[in-house]
Amino acid sequence: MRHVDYQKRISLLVDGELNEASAGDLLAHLTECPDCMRVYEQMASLNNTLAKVTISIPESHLAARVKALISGEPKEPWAGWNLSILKQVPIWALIAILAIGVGDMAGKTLTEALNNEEAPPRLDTLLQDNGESLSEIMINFGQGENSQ
Amino acid sequence: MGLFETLSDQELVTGSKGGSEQYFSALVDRHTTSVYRVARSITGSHEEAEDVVQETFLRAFKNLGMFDESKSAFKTWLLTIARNQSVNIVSSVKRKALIFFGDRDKGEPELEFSSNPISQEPQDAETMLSIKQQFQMMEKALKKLPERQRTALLLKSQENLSYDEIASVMDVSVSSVESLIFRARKKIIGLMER
Repeated sequence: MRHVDYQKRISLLVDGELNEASAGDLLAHLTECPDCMRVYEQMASLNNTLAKVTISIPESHLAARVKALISGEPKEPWAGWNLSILKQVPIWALIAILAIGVGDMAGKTLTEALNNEEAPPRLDTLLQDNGESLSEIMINFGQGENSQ
Repeated sequence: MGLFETLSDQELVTGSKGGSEQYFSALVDRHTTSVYRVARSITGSHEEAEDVVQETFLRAFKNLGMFDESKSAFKTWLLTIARNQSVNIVSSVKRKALIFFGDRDKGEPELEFSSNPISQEPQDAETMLSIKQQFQMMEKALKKLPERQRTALLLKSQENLSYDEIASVMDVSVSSVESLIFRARKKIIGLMER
């Protein structure tokens, strides 16, 4: 194994992310390799120093401001609902439910769908069905226009 | 010690989901510093970090119903929101324009460290000076790191998150986290040896 590979493992070791067997192998190597031992000491020291560093928050009562902001904020109506059940429903099932719902509305106006009653066809409201053909209707319509 | 301080994050989240603002307030008290530190390390600005803290908790509060305890810890979820918010701010056009015109956070240091970050043990003046110099060097070195390396390193060393949790917060693989932290350490050590 190359030195750089050992050094990557040293980084894992100081973070406690190396399993016991690998840690044992690495520690054995460190006893024999002064270069890697030096890197280990540097990384451990750096970790120790960084852990002591705290980025200070200037006096701003930040938490209090956040809480005040939240107390004036209405929750979403679905907040608190367990929506994870939706994630467990297969997507094809949701599509099928949606398709059935949309299919049921086919050929209906929004009013019909909402009121659940059938409105007369729009053409029938404009043209009364007297048993005349379309050409007869048009001729009669033209004559009516000319007679005015 | 108050009632809420003894409760775990999970218990506080459950209480908050039940509609209690007091439970959520306890979460705000508990995690404001961590959210601020992550935001500050990414944005480098106190004002922007404060905005991120407010926006992060507001989003968390609104979307608490979507939070799934079985997938991640509350803190990990919260820091994920904070990081995304911070990255959005850093990459925003408005911010770039402000930097271009040199009108952002005039006179403000990019990162602040507590003036006495060392243990409570009494130290002599020479030791204190040496420690202070060491911290100043580290502050400079941290500023020179790319954002992703700095964030990964600070999430490990300051927030004590596992590599899995850091990967979740940063939306990268665990091996990327290993690499980011390793490179960050190598670079800081190199800079401090100069």
